[in-house]
Amino acid sequence: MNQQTICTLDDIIPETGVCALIDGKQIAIFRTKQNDLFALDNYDPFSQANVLSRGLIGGTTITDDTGTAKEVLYVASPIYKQRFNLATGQCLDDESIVLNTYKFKLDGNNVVANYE
Amino acid sequence: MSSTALSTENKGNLVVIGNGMVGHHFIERAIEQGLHQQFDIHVFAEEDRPAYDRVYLSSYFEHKDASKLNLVDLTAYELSKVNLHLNQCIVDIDSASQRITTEAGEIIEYSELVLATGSYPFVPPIPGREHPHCHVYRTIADLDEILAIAELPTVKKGVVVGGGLLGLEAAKALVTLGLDTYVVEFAPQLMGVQLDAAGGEILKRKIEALGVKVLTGKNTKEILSNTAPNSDDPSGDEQHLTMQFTDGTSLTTDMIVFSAGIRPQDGLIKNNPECGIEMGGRGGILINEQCRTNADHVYAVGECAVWDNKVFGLVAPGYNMASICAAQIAGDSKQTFTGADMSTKLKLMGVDVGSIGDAHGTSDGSLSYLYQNPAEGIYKKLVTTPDNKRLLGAVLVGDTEDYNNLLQLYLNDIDLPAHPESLILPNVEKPVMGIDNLPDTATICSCYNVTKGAICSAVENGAYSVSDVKTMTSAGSGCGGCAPMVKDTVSYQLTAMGFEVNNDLCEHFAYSRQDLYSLIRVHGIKTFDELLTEHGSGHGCEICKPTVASILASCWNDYVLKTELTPLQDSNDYYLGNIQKDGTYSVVPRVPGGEITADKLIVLGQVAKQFNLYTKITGGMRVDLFGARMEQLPDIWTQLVQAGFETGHAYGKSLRTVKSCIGNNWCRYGVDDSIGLALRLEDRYKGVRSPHKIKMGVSGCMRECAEAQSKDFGMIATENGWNLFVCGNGGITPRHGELFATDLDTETMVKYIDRIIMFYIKTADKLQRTSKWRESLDGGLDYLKAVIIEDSLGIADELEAQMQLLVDNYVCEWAATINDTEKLKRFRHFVNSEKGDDNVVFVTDREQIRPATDAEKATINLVELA
Ligand code: SRM
Ligand SMILES: Cc1cc2nc3c(=O)[nH]c(=O)nc-3n(C[C@H](O)[C@H](O)[C@H](O)COP(=O)(O)OP(=O)(O)OC[C@H]3O[C@@H](n4cnc5c(N)ncnc54)[C@H](O)[C@@H]3O)c2cc1C
Ligand code: SF4
Ligand code: FES
Repeated sequence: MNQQTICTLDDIIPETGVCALIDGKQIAIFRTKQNDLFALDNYDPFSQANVLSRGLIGGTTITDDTGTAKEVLYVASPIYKQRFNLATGQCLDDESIVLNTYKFKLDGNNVVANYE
Repeated sequence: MSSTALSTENKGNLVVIGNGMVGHHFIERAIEQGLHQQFDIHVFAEEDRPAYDRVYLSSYFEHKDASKLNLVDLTAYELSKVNLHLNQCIVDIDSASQRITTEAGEIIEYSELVLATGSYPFVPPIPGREHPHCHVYRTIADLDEILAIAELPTVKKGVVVGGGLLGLEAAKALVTLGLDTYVVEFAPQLMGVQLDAAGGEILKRKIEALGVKVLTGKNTKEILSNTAPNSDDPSGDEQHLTMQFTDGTSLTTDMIVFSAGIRPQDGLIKNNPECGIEMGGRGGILINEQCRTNADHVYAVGECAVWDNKVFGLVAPGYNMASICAAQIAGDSKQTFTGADMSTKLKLMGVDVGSIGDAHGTSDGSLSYLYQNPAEGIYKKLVTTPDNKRLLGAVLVGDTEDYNNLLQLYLNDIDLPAHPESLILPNVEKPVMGIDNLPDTATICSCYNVTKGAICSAVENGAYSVSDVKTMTSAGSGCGGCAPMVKDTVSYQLTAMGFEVNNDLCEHFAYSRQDLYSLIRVHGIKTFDELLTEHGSGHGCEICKPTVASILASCWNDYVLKTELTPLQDSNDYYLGNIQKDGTYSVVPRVPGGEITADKLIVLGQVAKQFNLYTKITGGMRVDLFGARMEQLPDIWTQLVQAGFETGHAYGKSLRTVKSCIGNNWCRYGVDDSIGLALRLEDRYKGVRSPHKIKMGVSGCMRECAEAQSKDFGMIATENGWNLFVCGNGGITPRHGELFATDLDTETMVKYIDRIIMFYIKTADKLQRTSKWRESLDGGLDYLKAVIIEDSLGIADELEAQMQLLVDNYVCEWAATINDTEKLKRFRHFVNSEKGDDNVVFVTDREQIRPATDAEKATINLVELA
């Protein structure tokens, strides 16, 4: 497994995202209040623009098939406001759309991408 | 002051000693009862300021603004002829001759006397406690002293003696001040009054995880210092203190705050045994259920009073006593004090804690049910009657979601479900105590003793929102703990009346925008997280974040890209430009009134050319430059700012443009300088964040070339001044502005506009233009005129002052941003590369760029990236 340091944690204001260029791909990386990192495609399929890293982070309570309610975090596109689950890439407003997610981790103060 | 000078005509004196929270509440109730018409009211206060909110005392460390804690409206005191004597301690009472004596030796006669002297912090008699670095935590003066010491460079560590409710609050304050903080508790556990041992232990672990060191079971024998307490330099150099404990261990520190409990302030009686007023066995002033002491015409209320051997250290029972006392003096003997529920729910250093009734399970034969989740630091306990039918008490640590539910079961003696443990187990369908199950007599707000019945009838009488109910009944305006229940009760009653309303902003705030605005103002809230913790739940979302950002800006006008405000902003406010369909931004510099010099026009042209931007004259009389890539924005704006341009706020919910005709400088019909007025207005209101955008128009005569009557504010020149039109709109649903006032001079008109905008900010819903807002105002235009012109609500001065603050704090967001290297960092497309977004592609059309369509991207020659 390969690793690559992309930026430092301080480069990402808490509760916002940045866009990284990794192997020619645009990836939106988000940092939450709790300093968890999430990463999705930066490309918004609805507006067809590379903008998701500039969206607002939000939370909503969702009840799953087993009936348990839990809060999921999402990013809302800055253009037409569709929401995407940060953990899974699932679009909350259109079941048929799922974005790719990517693994990032914090190594000290470094934001590190993990890839095969 | 002599005894005769004070009383006038036949009125006697109603004298109140103490202007603390309860003493002040008494004055309000007394005025309500009309006592100010029967008596001359005199209030003597030991402190040098009128009553303030001790409950929120700790917030002082954050804002350091004593006025935010103030409870007293001095004008209201004055109107009711309440004489407030600050800085005048009463030192003697003679209940036989009905006189009191001030510190200065003046003697005042009273017809009725109310003692509201509160309590004082108990400091255990430990040798060394007089050291200047030892403090207590009760008054603003105490906090000022703590601040002064904590800010000394040598002071790095602080100890709080006492691990009760107030002690932990003091500890949090020391953490806020950046001190390495310790809590030293005599008992084997924290919060021994409210929690059982296991709950105390979980709380201790959670607090320790936050970096506060907790020492329990420590008895301080002596405090030693390396300098004598009264040396020449009492607060200057290093002054380490060493606390010696009876178990032989010790702890060094730089300062100590004692918070080891309170004692009723009864010195006045204790020091004057011949005063004829009886004290309790363990101090305090004895009262009966009418709040009367044994002496005729002498009452006691609040924390100085002892009822049934109890002192009540919370504000709610004190308020209750104050209302009863006022009623008694007014001759209504029906209302009596019958004790108070001391259940509490609070957040201590971010840890939720709740305690109801018999938390320790000491009632005969009671049963306890426990749930413990050590991984998440959750502990819950129920105490029930031996037959399992009724709730006697509860302890909740780490999760207080069940608190209100349990409290209602407890207070109203409601039958418990078959398996009471289901009330505290996670992942179990809980039998929720709906409002409909509660009797009308159930107390919803204990601070103000407001029942379900009272809230429902307020709703029936037209208070359709939580904030109206609050104004009408006071419910929810104390500690705020009952807010969710008040909200539920209001919805319950509205539903019962056949309304279907849900004005919640979103799932994270059970409040409307108006409610949030008031909360933010009243509690001086400066950040989203603070608001969310105190009044919301969950994480926040794309609806509440920008709304709150806008309210914060309307209240305090902080720079929108301040780090803690940044994540709240919509992409437009975040990048200070309007995002376009391809992810590029538009650039709209302000052109006040549409007046622009040739030089500036040239700069616009040059910038557009250099960065290859699409250029258009807008419907708002200015120039919009489109197609700017995010990473180009700082360079573009640096040039514009250098040329004297400011941001046009085309991205903000704020003033857009003041459209103007050319006016009397050139036009043969013009009767006044429309451009001059437009410049002044645009300069005054630029940047003011509001619920939606605001547009204005100024025309130099009735021909109305500026279409002022279709704007939120429209001004048309007349021979005698200006006619002001308000609440017009173009856009989706056009509406003509309504004539608000005629022939105004400019100064008066600006005042009116100040007031209307602030009143709109205060009361409008989110994204509601002035036209829709005006239509939603009960009482319509006449009401608006009454509020603004006649000042029927008495808020005109406040509105003007609030607007002036926003005007004074204006900065051009772009000028601020280009000078801030930190903020500039975010204006690049990739965090790890200087490249631009290769998906942004333009084609040339009608001699300018526009975004390429997908088909074009695939086939046509690409325009060189700018
Ligand atoms: C640029 C401009 C059109 C133009 O090329 O002329 C324009 C462009 C936009 N208008 Fe407008 N409006 C522009 C004048 C107007 C006018 C005319 C005027 O102000 O005299 C109106 C009708 C007057 C009124 O507001 O009462 C107007 C009524 C709207 C509305 C509907 C508002 C309503 O109350 O119904 C929206 C949508 C909204 O705000 O929710 C809107 C929204 C927008 C947005 C912000 C849409 C968006 O979110 O992307 C457009 C983006 C501007 C940009 O990227 O810079 N724009 N818009 C005009 C900019 C004026 C300026 O200099 O700031
Ligand atoms: C940090 C802190 C946090 C708190 N948090 C909460 C909470 O969350 N919930 C809650 O319910 N309660 C809380 N309390 C308790 C609450 O503040 C008190 O219950 C309330 O202030 C009692 O009001 P009072 O008028 O009886 O006393 P006080 O507010 O103390 O007022 C008494 C006043 O009388 C003056 N006085 C005394 N003697 C004389 C004299 N001889 N002559 C003239 N004036 C005199 C004093 O100077 C004082 O100003 C808190 C208290 C503190 C200190
Ligand atoms: S509104 Fe009157 S003053 Fe203004 S340009 Fe038109 S005619 Fe001239
Ligand atoms: S219970 Fe404190 S405000 Fe209602």
